[in-house]
Order: sequence, then structure tokens, then C-alpha cells
Amino acid sequence: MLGGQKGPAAEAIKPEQSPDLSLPLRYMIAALVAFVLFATAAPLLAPYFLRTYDDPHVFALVHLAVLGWITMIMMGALYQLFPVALQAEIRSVRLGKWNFWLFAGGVAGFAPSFYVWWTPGIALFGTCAVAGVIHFVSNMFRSYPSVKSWNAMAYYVLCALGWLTLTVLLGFVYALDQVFGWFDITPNILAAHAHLGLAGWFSLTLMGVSYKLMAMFSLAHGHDETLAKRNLALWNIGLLGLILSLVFAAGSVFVTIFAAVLDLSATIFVADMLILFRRRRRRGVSLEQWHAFISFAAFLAAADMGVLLVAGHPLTPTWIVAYGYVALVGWFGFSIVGKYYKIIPFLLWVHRYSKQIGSRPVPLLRDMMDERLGYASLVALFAGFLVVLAGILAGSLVTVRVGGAVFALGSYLFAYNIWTVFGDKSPTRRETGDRPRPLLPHLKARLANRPNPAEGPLPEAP
Amino acid sequence: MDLATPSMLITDSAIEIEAWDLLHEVYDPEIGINLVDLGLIYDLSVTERTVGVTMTLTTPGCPVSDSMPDAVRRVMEAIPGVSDVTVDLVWEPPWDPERITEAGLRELGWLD
Repeated sequence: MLGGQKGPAAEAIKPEQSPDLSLPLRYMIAALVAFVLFATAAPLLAPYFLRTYDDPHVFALVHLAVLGWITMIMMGALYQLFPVALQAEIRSVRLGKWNFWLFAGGVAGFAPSFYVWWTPGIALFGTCAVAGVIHFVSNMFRSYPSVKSWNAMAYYVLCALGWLTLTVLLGFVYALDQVFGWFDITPNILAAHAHLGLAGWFSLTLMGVSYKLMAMFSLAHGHDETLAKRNLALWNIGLLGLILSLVFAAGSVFVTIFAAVLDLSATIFVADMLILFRRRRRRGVSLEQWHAFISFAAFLAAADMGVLLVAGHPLTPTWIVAYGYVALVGWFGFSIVGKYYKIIPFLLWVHRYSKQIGSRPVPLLRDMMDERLGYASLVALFAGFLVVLAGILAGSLVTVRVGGAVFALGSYLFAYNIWTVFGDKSPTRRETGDRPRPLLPHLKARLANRPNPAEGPLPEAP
Repeated sequence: MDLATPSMLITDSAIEIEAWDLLHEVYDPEIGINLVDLGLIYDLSVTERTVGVTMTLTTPGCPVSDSMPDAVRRVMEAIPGVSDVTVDLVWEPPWDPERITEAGLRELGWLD
């Protein structure tokens, strides 16, 4: 008989609940490609976004980032994390796989259609992308009844999925208006659409996932999630108020009030993350955590900038673009890049090496990628990010292009590092030392205290 | 005539020693510490060549929750003389960092 999992293990996840590698991986690879394309295209399109955010080329670049990169990776990451972190089952893995092609195909046509302002393409591919999102949201909502672990991440992601639905529906209405002129779309509705996505879908997903992953990877156990759950309510109130104010009372004091509520909530989240981090049992700061801390700082900066923009700071395109850049690249971008360094090696390790334990040496996760290259990438990405931000604020095309080139270099190093994870990392017996470990003294004593006369003396420990 | 094979001469105690030793060679891939020093093995018993392991993981959401119990079972089955293996993955009592051994704390850098 093979040893099965029984008793309390019935609460544990069953192997068949985890989707196979190909489901999350296809989303993650597509997102990686989109990230490199975004990093490459950004300095080339700098003349457009330095002038205004309301430009087809800027729309193309932004949607490549928000749909092709960030939404794509979030879909893949949730398909991977949802079953293990929430002890749940994805309702339809097959739908997830087929839906990838619908969504990826939609995004692949949507962004270029924006670029050349081909309205039939915007409508057609936009419909595909929206359908892809709706299928994804539907699949995730239908997976929720199987959730056994209702932790903070479960609630954050549930709310994020609701906001994502509203984001794409409002975006779809906006796209239809661009083609047919059916609705009276104002810039404030565009701002509402952007904030539904940025604050509703992206931020809540990242906040929820951060609670799980930060605790898991830093061995920070026992963190009370009460504050996290209350802060989720605060965030939802702030966002709902902001969206309603933008649509129905733009320019009123309510916009400022609700932006301040979101700023307060962001501050509470970052403070809670720091409290959690202080409980860690792993020393130092890992590569993934450096990315996370940069992203938290950018989150606070973006939240502050948002309040300033609605509280009286001139709503110049420069400041709006800078605000969007800090949120998009600083908060979401660094957070996502850092999590790649954990998620991709984990996926491949489980797929490739988990069944080899005991029969041959297997690598650790840290053996599967080049950490020094990861830090080199981080330095380039962070330096590039700061220089681009300075260039945007100064209105300097040269500065934005130099910073953008450095950021692109960082993205190439990052992509190469992730690519190398796919290679075989099996250590040899020589590398592992091929040594049996000496038996611990307390085990010797334990065995010595329970002799079985029928079995004779204990053999010497190796 | 009753002919004893070499594996039949192996005692339960010898199997238990070998089992503990081999579990020191099974590492949590992310933390880089073996399961014993991480405090994930709650119990190990050998009765009539049947190995019983009760273990946990650092969190119910651990990404290796699918594979680690199977890995432990495979390692135990490889011990000469073992006739049967049972691995129970439990979440109660939940794992706590206090269960990390001195060797584990040393690996994590908390002890010199």
C-alpha cells in the first residue's frame, strides 16, 4: 500500500485540484513578452505621452501594459495561487486554457488597433478581450464555492474580480462610444474606468496576494488579518465613493474626500505589511522583497499624488501621466516582477523535480535562477524608473528616453533570468556532496530509550 | 526450512534510524532547510516494517502541499526492508516557527 493522505489531511488540497503547469504558464509567458514589449516601446513613444495621455499611441501603450502584461499575469497567477492559497478548485481548467487564446488574441489586436486608430479593430479585438475577461471572472466566481480557507486573500480577490467586471464593462462602453458615438462619454468617465482598473482590480489583487505570499516567503506566521479585512472595507468604500463622485459629481469635494480615504487605506496596508514583515523568521531581505518594498513606496506615492491632483494641484497632462506611471510601473510593475522570481521557479520545480525527490538530487528554488542577475535587473529597473519619472516631470524627452532605455535593459535581464529557469537545474551528486547526514543526538537518545529486546542492539548511526 | 533474506534481518529500529536520516535529506525547496530541522515531521514510527509518518507543511497554502507528502513516501519506500508506508499530512496542530530546530535556526541565520 502506498501511504495516502488521510484523517486531517482531508482538509488539504488534493493533487487533482491544482491545474497543470500549462494553464498558469501560458499566461505568465505571454505577460513576460508583453512586459518586454512595453519596456521597449515606452521610450520610443515618449514624445506622445510627454504631450498628453489622451492619445491613441498612449492608449496602445497603456493597454499593452494593463491588459497584456498586468491583467495577463494576474490571471495566470490566480489560476496557480487560488487552489493552493485558498484550498479551492478551479471550476473549469479547460475554460481557463481556451480563454487564454481569446484574451491574448484580443489584446494582441486591441493594442495595435489603438496605435493606428483602426476603429473596427478596436471594437472587434476589444470585444474579444472583454469576452476573455468576462470568461475569466465567471470561471473564478464559480470557483469560489469550493474555497475552504477564507483568508484575507480570498476576500480581496473576490472584490477585485467584481471591480474588474465593472472596469471592462465601462471600457467597453467607452470603446463603443468611440466607434458609434452612442454615449456621452466624458473625461471623468475615462478617469472612472482607469481607477476601477488601477484601484479596484490591480490594487486589491496585489494587496490580497501580498498578504499570503509575504507571510509564506518570510515565514511570518500568526499575523492577525483583522486589520486587513477591515481595511478592505475601507478601500471599497473609498473606491466606490471615488467612482460615483467622478461620474456624478466631478470637481466636488467628494472626489478629494474619497481619494483621501484610499490614501489612508493604502497607508494602513503598507503599515500592516511592515508589521507582518517584522514577524518574519527569515533574516535579511530577499530579492522578491526588495521589489515588494519599492512597490509599496510607489503605492504610497501614487496614492498621495492622487489626492494632490484632486485637491487643487493643476490637472496638467504631465502630472496625470506621472501619476499613472508611478502607479502602473512603480506599484504594479515592481510587485509583479518580484513575484515572478518566486512563482515561475515554484511552478517548474513542482512540475519537474518534485517527483524526483529521493531518487536523485534536486535543486532548491534559489538554485534555479541567477540571483546576482536578478539584483542587476532590479538596479536597472529602479534606476530607469526614477529617471523616466524625473523626465516626465521635467518634460525632458532625452531624460525619458535614457531612463526608458535603462528600464528596458533591466526588463531584458529579468526576462533572460526567467528564461534560464526553464533549463535543467538538477545538481549532481558531486555538487551535493553525496553525504548522509549524521544522526542528530536527540534522535539517538530517543531510539535508545525505546529498545525492543527482540530486535537486538541498535546499529551504529551512519 | 525458513530461510531469512537479508532484508528480513533489518530491524524496525534500524529502519527508523535510516528514515530519520533520509528525512534530513528532503528539503523544503523554497526555504532550503530539511523537513526535520524545519519541524515539519510531527511523528515517525516503525512497526513491523511499516513506516508511519505524520507531517505538516508551513502553511495550508504551501505550493508543495501536493508533492511533499508523496516525496516523503517515496523516500521511505526506498529504505531496504520497508514493507509499507503511510504518510499523514495534518494541519492540526498548525506548524509554528518555534518548531524549527537549532540546526534550522542556524541555517536561517538566527544562530551563529
